[in-house]
Amino acid sequence: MPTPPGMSSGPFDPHASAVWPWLVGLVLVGLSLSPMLRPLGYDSFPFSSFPMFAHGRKDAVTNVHRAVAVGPDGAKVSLPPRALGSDEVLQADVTLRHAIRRGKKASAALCRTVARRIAGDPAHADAVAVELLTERHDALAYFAGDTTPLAPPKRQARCKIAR
Amino acid sequence: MKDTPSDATHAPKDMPLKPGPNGQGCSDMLSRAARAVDRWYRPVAAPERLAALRILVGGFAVAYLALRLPNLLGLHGLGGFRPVGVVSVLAAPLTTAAVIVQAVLALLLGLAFAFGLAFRVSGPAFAFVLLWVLSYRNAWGMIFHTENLLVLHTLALGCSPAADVWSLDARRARRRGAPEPVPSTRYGWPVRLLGLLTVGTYFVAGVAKLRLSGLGWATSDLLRNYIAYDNLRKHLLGDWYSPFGAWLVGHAWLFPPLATASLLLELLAPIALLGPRIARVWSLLAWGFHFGVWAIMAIFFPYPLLGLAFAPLFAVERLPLLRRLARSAG
Repeated sequence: MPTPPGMSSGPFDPHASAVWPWLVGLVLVGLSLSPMLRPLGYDSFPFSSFPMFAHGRKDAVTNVHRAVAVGPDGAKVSLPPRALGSDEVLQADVTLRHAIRRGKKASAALCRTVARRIAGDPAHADAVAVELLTERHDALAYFAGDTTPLAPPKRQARCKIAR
Repeated sequence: MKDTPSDATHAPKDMPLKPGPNGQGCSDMLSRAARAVDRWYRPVAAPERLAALRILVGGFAVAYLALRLPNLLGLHGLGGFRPVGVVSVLAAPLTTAAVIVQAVLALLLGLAFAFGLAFRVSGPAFAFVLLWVLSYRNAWGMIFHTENLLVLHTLALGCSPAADVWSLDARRARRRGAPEPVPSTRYGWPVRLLGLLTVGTYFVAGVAKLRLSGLGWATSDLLRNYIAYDNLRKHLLGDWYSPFGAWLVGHAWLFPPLATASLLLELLAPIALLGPRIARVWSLLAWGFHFGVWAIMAIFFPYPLLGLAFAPLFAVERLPLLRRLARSAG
């Protein structure tokens, strides 16, 4: 096969033969499609079955974990994802979920880390403590106006903010 | 932006396949079919189209990395290291210094990739480093599916001669008196491959929905419940959520048609490879799908929403901005 003129042509030009294009194509397309043959819900990077929306949900009842700053009067304010160590909300959500799943020690450790992070934050200058909470909600009812949790919030950890 | 690589003239019959002895029989048919597939996969295309894709994808990757730098550098604070993909070779998180080095290296190689500098090295090197850095970012329990296609496209471009024109390499070669590259199959296959990867990812996503939830995904409240749940967790976690989506979940009848349309769009993605017109229609619908996801779930997929996921299906080299850039580069 003649080598097409091109500036990257040299003694060995892989693009000039049909082998290299097919090799690259078959490997990349094959790996991209391979998650279809993997177990249900397979997820990795960059080859994924993209299961994020595929599960759906049988109902809209869900446990939501969150970190809150507690004021001197007991008022609770949601802390943003960056207080949990990430500007990405879903990454922060996973951090919170993992800590709670691992138990009291891990939850307390995360609570103290969050408290240290917000100690110097003027937006939370009045806060005296941090709590990690789990609330059970019906998301559809919540957005229909019934924001009361289905059960009293469960406190997973509480720690003071040292200043 | 009108045509796709399929508009280009076909490749010469140069695949190393042996025709049948008398032009008849099964092996001859197979040979002809193989040649037809080869001509489709490796159409003749102008080097400018591939170069335009390199600039667009590389430019996006550099901007993306730069904007995500605070996140990339702060990952160690998250805890819960769960390596995926290529970073599975790591038993523990990297040191802070190594994280900084890999981020800076990715940015520098990304610039070389986008500008087409020493592309034979910087092309594959950036593709691998981007794969590594984003795999590391995805190794903390949350996989960002907004990044998969960007990495796949970069890998394909990094393995191709995408810097033969509109690049610093090309300018240097011209000064040395090298001939101008001409349209060739070597510039057609990478463009085709990028298009295949785009439609492949949508198709895989559609199949996952069928495998996990069956047709019920399209006909029941599964999507509605998921949208309500997703917005609620973001709202309670103190982040942006979609008030529009929160309002919309109160209208149950809307969701089965929306879910059906989304599923069809994904499962029928391969039709975008049939020709330029259908590619335009599918791309527009897919873009609308991502706009809908943004509006209803506050999930921003920058790569498709900025049109880059669909760029391989269009004659992007005709974009005035790219032509101006190419002229000013010399």
